[in-house]
Amino acid sequence: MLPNPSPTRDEEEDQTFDSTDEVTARARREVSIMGQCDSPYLVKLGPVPLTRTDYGAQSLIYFAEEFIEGEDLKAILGRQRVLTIRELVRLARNVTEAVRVLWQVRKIHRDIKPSNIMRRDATAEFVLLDMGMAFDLGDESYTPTGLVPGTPIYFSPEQTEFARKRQMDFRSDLFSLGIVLYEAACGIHPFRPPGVMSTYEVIANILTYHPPPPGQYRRDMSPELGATISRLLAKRPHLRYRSCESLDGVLSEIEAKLTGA
Amino acid sequence: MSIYAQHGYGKSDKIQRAMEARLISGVILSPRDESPENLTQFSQALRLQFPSADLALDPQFYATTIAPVRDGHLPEYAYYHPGLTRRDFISPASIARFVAETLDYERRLEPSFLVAPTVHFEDFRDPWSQISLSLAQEAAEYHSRLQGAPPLYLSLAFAERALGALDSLGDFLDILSGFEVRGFYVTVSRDTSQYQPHMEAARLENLLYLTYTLSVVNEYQVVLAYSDLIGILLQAVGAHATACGWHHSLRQFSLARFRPSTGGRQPRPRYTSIPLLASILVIPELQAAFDAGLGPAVLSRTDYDGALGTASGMNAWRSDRAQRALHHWAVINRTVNDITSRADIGDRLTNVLLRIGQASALFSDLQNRGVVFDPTSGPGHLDQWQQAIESFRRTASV
Repeated sequence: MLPNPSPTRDEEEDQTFDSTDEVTARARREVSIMGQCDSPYLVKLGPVPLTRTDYGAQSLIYFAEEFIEGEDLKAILGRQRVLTIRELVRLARNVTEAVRVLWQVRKIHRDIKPSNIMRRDATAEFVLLDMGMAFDLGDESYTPTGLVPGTPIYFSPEQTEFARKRQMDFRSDLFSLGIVLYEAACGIHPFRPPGVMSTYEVIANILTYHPPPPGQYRRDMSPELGATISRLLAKRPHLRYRSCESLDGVLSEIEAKLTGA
Repeated sequence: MSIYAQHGYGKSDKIQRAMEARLISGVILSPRDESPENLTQFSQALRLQFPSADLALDPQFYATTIAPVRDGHLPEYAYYHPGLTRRDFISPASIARFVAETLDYERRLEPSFLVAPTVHFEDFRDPWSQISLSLAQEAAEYHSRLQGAPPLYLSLAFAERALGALDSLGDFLDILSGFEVRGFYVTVSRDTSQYQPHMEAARLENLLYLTYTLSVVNEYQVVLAYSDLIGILLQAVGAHATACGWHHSLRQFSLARFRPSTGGRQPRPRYTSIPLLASILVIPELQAAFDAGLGPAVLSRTDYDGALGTASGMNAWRSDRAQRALHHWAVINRTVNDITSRADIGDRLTNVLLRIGQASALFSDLQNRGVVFDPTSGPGHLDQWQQAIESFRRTASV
């Protein structure tokens, strides 16, 4: 059975907040998730709890997250286009672990993308940020009916279907991770080949297009790593990985070969 | 890779003899065919004599929704409630009770794994399939709360025609592959109760896909019940085990097994030939093969078929059901072991296709020499198998 998470300190302290306010509700959820999950690969809460204040005519809410000295993956790829194979495997393992920890409390991140992943300067490890879009399968939805939260070009096929929202699981995050890995390996988005393409066309590609194996762009990539990334991009959840542990097992073998262990 | 005995009526000592000869490595018990007392004694005796054998009970819960039903000893089992309708599965409390009663009963037998209760459905999107998923979900949750229980296999029982729709199968697999259990016990009900190795190529392809997806891709242990020779293909694509019994009704499943019988005659004895990948009629087909000078080419050469080719051997074969059962298990066991000695699924399927080609050629030789085969003997199924495998390989990229 899954643990039944008790309210966090922050949840208990902010009982006065109006839970029907979508922005507040999302912030509360983000804080709650950060409180429930303990992983070096998930951003942690900082010293300031969720707080609401009025500033002139505006009502503001704020809280602090852990300060991470580093750079986000979007900036890294913007500068160097691709990661080294070792960095790529580290990125895969770190985010897989983050997804695993989230799924332990039945949460799906739903917005895994380069700008939501930071690389710590001190350890070169990657950290998944922004739990604001994370979804609790047993929780109420804060998204108006018919709208799908997240960043569409990193959606999984099932994420594009509003009706299937409650059938989604961590494998949706694994698909998004697959897109990020492909991009970080090849320098291009798997479903948005070079050239102008609308978001709708990218979504259509996510649903139907099978990108070429990443090894076609990276000669230094092992067939095993290429196959792992391709498998993450399978259209059907049942063709990805049954568990994060299973995926990490494959990645650790790939890493061991890289290091000659 | 394992062969299990699919237990049923008239077991005599076949299961023990097959285990002693290492032709099978486990047994799936049928409560319909034994009283609770006999079943308990039998399982205890097997456990004592063959401690490493896999032992499990198919609770046959799907019979609860068949009406009218011919359920044998099942009403003697406390977990079995005949005459259930869809209304009986609306309440979560009822589903929880069905699951708890069934799994608790099974636990008392100290099986190697528990088989969750399920209901039979015709289509992966029909209401019964959703009830099946509810039972599976409840079983997984109930099992997760048990201390020291044997691993759980979720159970599926569905009509062969459900396999005709890949889209709905895919949706179903998306859900199944989310369950945290050890494996699946899958029963496919055939369209006919008549013996036939045929299965429409598209359906067989999707059965291969289901087996491969659950076992190889998602790392579950998949046991396919009532599998007969198709079990060879299913093990080639990753099935953990296939179960097969001595009657034709224990080699392919039909709901007719649980419906009032309208009578009928005893099936004619068959001989299972590795070179033909088929079970052919002893009289006239095997006899005709010998008459045509091709008898030796048809023989599987197990420890049980040495006397065939002589009149006395033929007569003995026709009258000795145990010998035929042991031979059948030996054939499947040897073929499966040979094929699955290759680790790569693609290599296994290449080997199966080679065997199919050789079997087709032998059938042609026999037919050219005047041997006539009943449609239930072959070689029509070989074309279907070949088409299904080739198509599956393209779909699964193996």
